[in-house]
Amino acid sequence: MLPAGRSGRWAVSLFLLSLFLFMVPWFPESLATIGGILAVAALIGSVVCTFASRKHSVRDALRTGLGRLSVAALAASAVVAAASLVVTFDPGLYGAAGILGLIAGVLGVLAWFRLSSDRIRLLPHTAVGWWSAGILAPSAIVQFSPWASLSGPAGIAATGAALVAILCYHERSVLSAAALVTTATMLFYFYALFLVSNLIRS
Amino acid sequence: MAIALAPQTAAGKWAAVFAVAAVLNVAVLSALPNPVFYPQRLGDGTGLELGGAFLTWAGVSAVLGLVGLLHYRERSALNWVITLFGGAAVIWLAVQQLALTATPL
Repeated sequence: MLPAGRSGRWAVSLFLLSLFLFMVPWFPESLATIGGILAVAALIGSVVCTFASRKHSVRDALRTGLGRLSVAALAASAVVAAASLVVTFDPGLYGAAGILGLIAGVLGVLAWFRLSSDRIRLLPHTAVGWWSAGILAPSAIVQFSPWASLSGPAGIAATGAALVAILCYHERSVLSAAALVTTATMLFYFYALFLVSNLIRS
Repeated sequence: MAIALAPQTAAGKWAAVFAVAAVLNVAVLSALPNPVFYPQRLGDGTGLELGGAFLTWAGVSAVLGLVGLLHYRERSALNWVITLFGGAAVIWLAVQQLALTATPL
């Protein structure tokens, strides 16, 4: 049942730990932000650890074309985020930075898939993979409705389903990769915005 | 045909892991000394409230239990309990969250 290899187990432990951290009600506001960032960083770290097997290192993944694209998107995202927070103060531009970060995350996961020389598909081919993508879609849509409070739990459910699909059922599809990274990335940019704006104000 | 007690498939086992984590998390949160009362609404204040915390875990657990039941011939007693109880908890808590957040103040 547990994923083979030390890294898969690290991934799952980090995922569980980050969910715990995320749920602790910290009381001062800045601590809450830092706690949230730590939790989401652990979530993203778990996604990275998911694919770091003995055979392949992070460097190998970054050497592939997809890995280079991912790094480029991440750098562009950082530049755009800095520009929006320091120069233009434009929330729309910060949203664009978040989308670039999301693209970087999906490309990074795909680079790991490619490294293990598995065929990457667009659509999932396992049942859990379909469920992860199917939960992610309403979670993203509901965000803009009065039921936005259900978006987070649904997104985490999509992340969990994608994690199980990739680790246990050998799912290698773009949609599942998106389900794996979307919630973590969105939460990360959300908390980073709070931290940076607090720093700028103080 | 004997019905197994513990889950047999990966999806069912993961559902059990998340269910245990849900109970543990609520236990930890209840035991913590909390200077500020849990915020009444999601996103209002610093942390998620207790029900929201349970909702997230139970959501993962119920989804995985349902997937095992529907697609991977998971028929163990524990999986039935997790899926039915988790699903009921998710619906109940989601309705409560909606009652708190979707009504104008």
